[in-house]
Amino acid sequence: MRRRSSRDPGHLSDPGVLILSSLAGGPKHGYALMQDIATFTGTRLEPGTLYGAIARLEKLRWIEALPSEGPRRPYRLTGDGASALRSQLDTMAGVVAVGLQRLARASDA
Amino acid sequence: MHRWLLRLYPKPWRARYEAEVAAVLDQHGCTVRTLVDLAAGALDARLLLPRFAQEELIAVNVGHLGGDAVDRPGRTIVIVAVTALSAVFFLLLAYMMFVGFPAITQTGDAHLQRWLGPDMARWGYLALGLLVAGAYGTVAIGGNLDSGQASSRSVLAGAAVGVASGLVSVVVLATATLTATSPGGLAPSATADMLLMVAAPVVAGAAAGWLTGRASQGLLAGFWCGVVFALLASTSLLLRDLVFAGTLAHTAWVGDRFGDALCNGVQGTVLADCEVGDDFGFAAFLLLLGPLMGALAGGPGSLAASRGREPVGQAAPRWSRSTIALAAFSGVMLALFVVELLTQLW
Repeated sequence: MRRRSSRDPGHLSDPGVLILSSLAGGPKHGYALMQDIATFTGTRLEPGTLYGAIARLEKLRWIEALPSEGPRRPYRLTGDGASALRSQLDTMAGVVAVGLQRLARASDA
Repeated sequence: MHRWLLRLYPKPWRARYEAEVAAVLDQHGCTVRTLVDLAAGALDARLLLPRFAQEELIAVNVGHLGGDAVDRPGRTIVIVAVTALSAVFFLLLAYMMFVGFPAITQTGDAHLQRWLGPDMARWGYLALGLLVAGAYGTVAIGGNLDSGQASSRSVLAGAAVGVASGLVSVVVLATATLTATSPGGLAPSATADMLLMVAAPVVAGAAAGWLTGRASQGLLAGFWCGVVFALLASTSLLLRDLVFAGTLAHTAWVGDRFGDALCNGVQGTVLADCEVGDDFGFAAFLLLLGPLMGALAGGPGSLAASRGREPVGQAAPRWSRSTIALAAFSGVMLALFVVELLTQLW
């Protein structure tokens, strides 16, 4: 079995990508993240899932916390986070392209 | 409800994220799905969140937590060791009951057979063994959930003294087993265990009082000393019986007297079954009362040793999850002991 590297976001990679994608548009606090993600995916992340992913992304230093605004703390994407997101999205784009191509072939046949 | 669920998260996680999550919940509202997600998140934070989170969140929030860092490796060793020893004790009990000495429940000393019959009594003893070993394993984890710096030191001091006194018990048992030629020759082992069960926690309590400057820590150190000692002494006793029963039945056990008339005057394997049953009873006594007596004896030790010492760490809340776990464990053990006194189960 392949051993996970310490840079691997692990089993919560999907919420991680959603959070990184949201923060690519600018810093946001938790509730703003949930709303933004719901807008562009139609998926509403619940707080337990959201903060599990935030904790992992903070450790990876792909996001970082900004000074608190009362009980709310905004997060922003770091340079490493932007690189990781770009790499992840490139992979996903490749998967999407291959998947769509094969589906098209299957419907032609 | 969601506030209660947030308490299930680890302390460092709560110090870092609880206020934020609470603010999000105020805006987001709380549905059944939210509650399930929070519960799953708590499990994730405790079991699956990489170790980084625990360490780094403590570093981030060192001010909030008052710098009350705990000795995590030491505490983990205590949890793993006590849980493993509990499992060994239970497996040894099961093996002896079903394979090593299958006729043990037909002897007079196995009182449970009077109510259940020999076959069901075997399962009854197995269930009791599982209950006791399970309680030890559970308190090892539950009793170390949220200890601070002072209690972490006390747990380690208690466990260390427990190991030392347990090793003394093993040496005395081995010496008596190899040299005794009559029942009287084995008596020093039981006497030593009784003395150690009281004296070792006093030492553990004194060590904890000196290390933490807190008189109350003697209870905790004495408890953990009693836990480790009881497990080591009872497991080594069963192991001794498993290995040496054949020899002892023809040497030091010959002529022994029992409270139950059915075991007096017997020989060979029946004598061995009676003696092993007797030792099961002593092991149960050590396991049921060891931690409780340890806590009681540890208190006076720390009272004296903590005088004039600077208190370490923060004062623990009176009813933390750890103290509730310890109190629940002690209650179950005491209840079992009272049941044994009243009904003569074993």
